[in-house]
Amino acid sequence: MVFNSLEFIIFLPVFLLLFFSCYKKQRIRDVVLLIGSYIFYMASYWMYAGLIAISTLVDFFIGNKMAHETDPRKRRIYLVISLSVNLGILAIFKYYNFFYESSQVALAFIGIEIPDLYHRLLLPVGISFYTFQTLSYTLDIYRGNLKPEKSLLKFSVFVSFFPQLVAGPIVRAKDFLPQIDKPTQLCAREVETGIQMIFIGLFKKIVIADLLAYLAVDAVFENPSAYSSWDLLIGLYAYTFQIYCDFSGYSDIAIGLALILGFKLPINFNRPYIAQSPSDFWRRWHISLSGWLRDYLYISLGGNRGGTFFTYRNLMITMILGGLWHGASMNFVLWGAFHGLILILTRNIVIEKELNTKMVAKIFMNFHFMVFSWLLFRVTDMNNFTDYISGLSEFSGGTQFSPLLYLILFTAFFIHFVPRQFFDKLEDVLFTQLRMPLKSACYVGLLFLFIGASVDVPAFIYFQF
Amino acid sequence: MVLYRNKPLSSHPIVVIALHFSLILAIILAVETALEFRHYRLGYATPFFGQLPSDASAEKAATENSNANENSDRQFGPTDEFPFRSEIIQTQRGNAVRVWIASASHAQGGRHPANAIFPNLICLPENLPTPCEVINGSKGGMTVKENIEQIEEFSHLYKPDYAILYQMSMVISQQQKQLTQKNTEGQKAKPKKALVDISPLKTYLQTFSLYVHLSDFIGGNIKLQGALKSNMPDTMVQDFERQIYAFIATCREHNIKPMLATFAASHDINNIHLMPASERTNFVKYNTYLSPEGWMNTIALYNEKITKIASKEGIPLVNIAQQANGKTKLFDDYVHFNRKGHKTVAITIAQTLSEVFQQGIHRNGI
Repeated sequence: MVFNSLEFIIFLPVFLLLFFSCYKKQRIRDVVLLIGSYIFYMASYWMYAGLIAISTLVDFFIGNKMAHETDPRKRRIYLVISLSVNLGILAIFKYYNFFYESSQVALAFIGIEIPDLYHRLLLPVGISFYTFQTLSYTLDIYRGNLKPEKSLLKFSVFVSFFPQLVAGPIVRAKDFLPQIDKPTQLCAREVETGIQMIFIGLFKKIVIADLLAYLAVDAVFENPSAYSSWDLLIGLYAYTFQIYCDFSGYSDIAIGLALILGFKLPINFNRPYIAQSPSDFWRRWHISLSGWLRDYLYISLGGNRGGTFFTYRNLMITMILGGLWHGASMNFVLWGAFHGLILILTRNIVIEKELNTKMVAKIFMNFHFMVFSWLLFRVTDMNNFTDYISGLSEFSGGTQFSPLLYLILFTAFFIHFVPRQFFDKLEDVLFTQLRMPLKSACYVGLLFLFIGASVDVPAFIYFQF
Repeated sequence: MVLYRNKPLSSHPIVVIALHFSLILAIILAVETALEFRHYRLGYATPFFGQLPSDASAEKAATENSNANENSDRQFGPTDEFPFRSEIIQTQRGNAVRVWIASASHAQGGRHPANAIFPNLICLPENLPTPCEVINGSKGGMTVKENIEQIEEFSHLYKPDYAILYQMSMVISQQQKQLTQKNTEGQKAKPKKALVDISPLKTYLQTFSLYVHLSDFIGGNIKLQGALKSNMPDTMVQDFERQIYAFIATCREHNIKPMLATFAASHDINNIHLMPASERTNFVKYNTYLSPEGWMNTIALYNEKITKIASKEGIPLVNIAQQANGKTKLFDDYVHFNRKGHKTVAITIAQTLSEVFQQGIHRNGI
């Protein structure tokens, strides 16, 4: 189920009605949350709900076994089972075809032919997200950082919690399970904030991300050679903001929904394009994933404890695997490798504290590193990439884009780069003080805008990961 | 009032949500009701106020006002036995020549009484002296494939001598659908394993006046700003030709003389800039691939193809485009004729039929 869909508009009020009628009774609340979350998931892919259940059961029982086991060897075996099941499912559905094809090409190169043994299974939505979420649970227990959850019901809610089930944020068990343990405490202000975040997220998704895609991005990437260098550059900027608004929009909606239900999810984005260096960027972009990769992969590989070479190697491995997490395709590997490379090359950049020319220059340079990296992320194949690059390097002018595209792109730039205090003040003056009927009228206005501007209703980009 | 004091009632979180939901719903319902009432008064079917006045009553009113004398004894379908919007005829043939009209909403003419739409004006004696009968095998949304299926289903019953194909906008719409689905396959592919199919509800909600207004005024104008194409790809041109040939083959197979017609729209490439903005959004309402100019180019190209096929196959051609294309006064909207338009088209078809009759080409006389 997609947040900007009719299915969800029907689902949400019914679910909220049920939830609010029983939220004070913890057990019933958890049952409602669990059933609601599975319905949310099954509305689109009912066949694959079983995979979530398998992950849940395996990690719940292994977590409990592992916690009570003192023998390190047996603890390791439990961990390996958990990793094998979770990563095994992920590997079959997401990576098997890619690696089989790569092997086929490599073997053909040395004259060995192997038959076509591909599967045609659809990629289960959100599999990378909930797999990482459950893995963090067993890894934390293995490391002794977390006590196992005793209630299968609560653990199941943690794995399948619908606001963040299919596209994050990737929530850690130590942050979420304590919230389930307590009775829900609803707060009017947080509910209001939740509603606002949902509308902000929908605005980012429908009005900015989808329209940037419709007005420029899809067209320039479909046929780069039909556009001038200027248009290709604008198309790339447009994609830079499309992917940000699409993904952070989803996170905003997820966080807002969770707030309404009395849960606090971690923030996932913190104005990433004002980062001054790639490492600063990764502290601001998809924070829950970069934190996961740092804690469970980079540090597991040794982090920066083995000298410069090993640090660089670990960075590169982490980023390439991070790239592969996004999708089984060579461009994601290259995207990850590019990020690994710029992280290595810019490791010594000092973050400026005060606004000055150096800060602006660093933001500008880093922003354009990211813009280029999104080109690697978005292209469909290497031909598409070379077409785009050669089109860009022609330095030709002229535009085929409408003023509306420029207006939306300018809005996205403006919202992103203007200090947050400005918007906080604006919100205080224009919105917070409003009486409830006027606030509702504003929401209706936005709803009208969303309905009207939903030109094509594409799914959230991060659903495919 | 509690609402205006804001604090006491709305400090409870559930009340906050309930109030927001209720207020939002109330405002939306109020706006919808107002818009629907306006639509209803304009004669459209609306979910709250009901359907359009029935076709029969509209027809009755129109008949009373205009051509009561000449048409008062004519009985029009559709009925249970006669599923066509044309004068009811028996399966048993007399001396009159029978003409099948294969089209879509253009010939069904739902907003006009049956006695004012072109299929039912062709055989009026002032238009065509030769006795003839029309079977209007046209319905809104019909494709060439469906036209063919209908001919296959009914031709053995009614045994038409001629079948005139007047189709293009539906073909272009279908082709755009194919192209847009192909282009965004990765993003839009609908999962086949959905738990519940709510598409009927979605379709129903899309009939609400509010949705129609918002998608037309906001969505339509946004779509027009997109990277729309000014031509159909060659594969689609070939597909169009295939459809025309399939129609011809079916007619011949059923011993019917096929006739082709060029297509007309309210504007052509020369005066498209004069088309009102609210009309231009029609072109991008459903499957958005072509710009309005792209539509005009495609209509011109497909008309060329039809003319060539007709000449190559020795098939009579009704040149409706020559009489009506770009003549805004003949249209209700971008592709649907008004009463004057229906009359013009009927006369054009009647003239072509008259020429064909003079050449003595009838059923079994090919």
